[in-house]
Amino acid sequence: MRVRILNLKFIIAFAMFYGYTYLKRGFVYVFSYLAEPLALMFLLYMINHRYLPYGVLGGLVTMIMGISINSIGDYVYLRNEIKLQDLLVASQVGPTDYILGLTFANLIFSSPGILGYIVLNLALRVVNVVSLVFVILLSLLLLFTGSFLAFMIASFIPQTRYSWGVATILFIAFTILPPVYYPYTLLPSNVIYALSMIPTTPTSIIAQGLAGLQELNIKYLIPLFVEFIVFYLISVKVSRWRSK
Amino acid sequence: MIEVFHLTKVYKGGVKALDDLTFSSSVKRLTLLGNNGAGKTTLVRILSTQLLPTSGIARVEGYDVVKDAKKLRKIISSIPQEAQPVGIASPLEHVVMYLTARGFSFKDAYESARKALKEVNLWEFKDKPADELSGGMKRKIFVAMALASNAEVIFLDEPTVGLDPLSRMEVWSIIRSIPSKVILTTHYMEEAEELSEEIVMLRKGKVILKGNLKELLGKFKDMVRVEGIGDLKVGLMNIMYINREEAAKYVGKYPIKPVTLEDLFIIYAGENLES
Repeated sequence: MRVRILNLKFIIAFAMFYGYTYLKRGFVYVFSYLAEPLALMFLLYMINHRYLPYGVLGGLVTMIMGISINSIGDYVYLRNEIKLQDLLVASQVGPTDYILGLTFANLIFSSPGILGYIVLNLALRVVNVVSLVFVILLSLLLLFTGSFLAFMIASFIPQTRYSWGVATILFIAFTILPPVYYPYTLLPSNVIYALSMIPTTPTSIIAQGLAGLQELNIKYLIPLFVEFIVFYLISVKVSRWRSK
Repeated sequence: MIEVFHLTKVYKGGVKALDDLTFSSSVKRLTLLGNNGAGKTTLVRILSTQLLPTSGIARVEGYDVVKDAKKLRKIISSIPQEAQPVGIASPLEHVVMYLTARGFSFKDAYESARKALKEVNLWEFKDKPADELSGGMKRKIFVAMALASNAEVIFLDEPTVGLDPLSRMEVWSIIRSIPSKVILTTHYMEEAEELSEEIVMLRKGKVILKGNLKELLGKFKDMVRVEGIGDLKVGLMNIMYINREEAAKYVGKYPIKPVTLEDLFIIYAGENLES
């Protein structure tokens, strides 16, 4: 099997081009990413103080999923309106380079919010430093899984006007339905298995375990890894990089 | 060398954009001319490996656009029609990003970007967000990308659309200075006349004329265009093409003009062809 070497220079350059520039010149967007998880955290606090740790931990998971799934809009916009994908297809960039470039760009641009949640998780003692490291690794796995999924979905959206709507619907479905803001033990096991098809479900189950909020359930790494591999393969092999 | 054999492209929904297209060209500056929907952009997208053909073969510098796409991408640069800069990023950031996509190191990308942006007179705006630049400046970012790319073959799909005459002339002079092979599509006859060593005129996905300007106009050298009479309708205007001798009787009554590339376009590429 031929191994394709990633275009690292492009990935870095694109992350700076699309991520750092927004951080530098469009900071309003940075705050917009924080709005929903902060609002939900506040709501949980008002309803029941006991659920605040779930809100703080869930806010981090929501931000990561938001970075991934909202990139559906970016992919379609950059392809249809900016024609950036055509420009890059006719160069030495492959779909993996592009997906990683955009993911890191969105990661850079969301970094103030992510850092804010990390500090909040530590300050409220939801996680300790050791478990935080694992939560961050888990979040990265979720980030890339979600990004591959986003590219795959975006490649099948023909018109830009549909993309933001699809992203919003999926964002809500992926962060409100799964046990992101509530204990996963509230759900019957068959519902948990069904919801495990959404990457935020296994991520939240493991994160709640790492934080000591629930029993640690490592077996949920399996669906998350499977989704990572499946979405990667589909995004690179099936999605439309070169137009048909 | 561009070689196209029986190339056909049928889009989903049944629209046939290219219809058994066959031609070859080895000139340094080739222009694809045709009305909207003639298949120019589809052809450029296939030749620059952005779009897969339905059937047929196309080669650029000997590389098959399907089988050798990865090798071909190393020697081409393609600026799509209607490409827009990302509003928040600067011209320098655009060009550097593009050059790293083409395999440049950061140092070389910066150096080449600097040179190209100076050449297109954008250097003093290098750090300004693109959405603060004029339409012409935005377009020049893409010209700078092509210029800096060092690609052997550069595809420019309507590079001057929306530019004022001065900016257009500026871009023309830059295109003329590019040492690479340039394949250009345009709607502007003047642009085709200025920049082409060879013109391929397309209509409904087929080649209807091919040659250099002299050859193309050669067969009309004894003819003139008379405006205001005739069977050929262009909008509200009637026109006809007749011999110079024959046109003598219309002198002073109707405007009489020499035949230009625009007339070939009207005759061959327009909807009047059947009539």
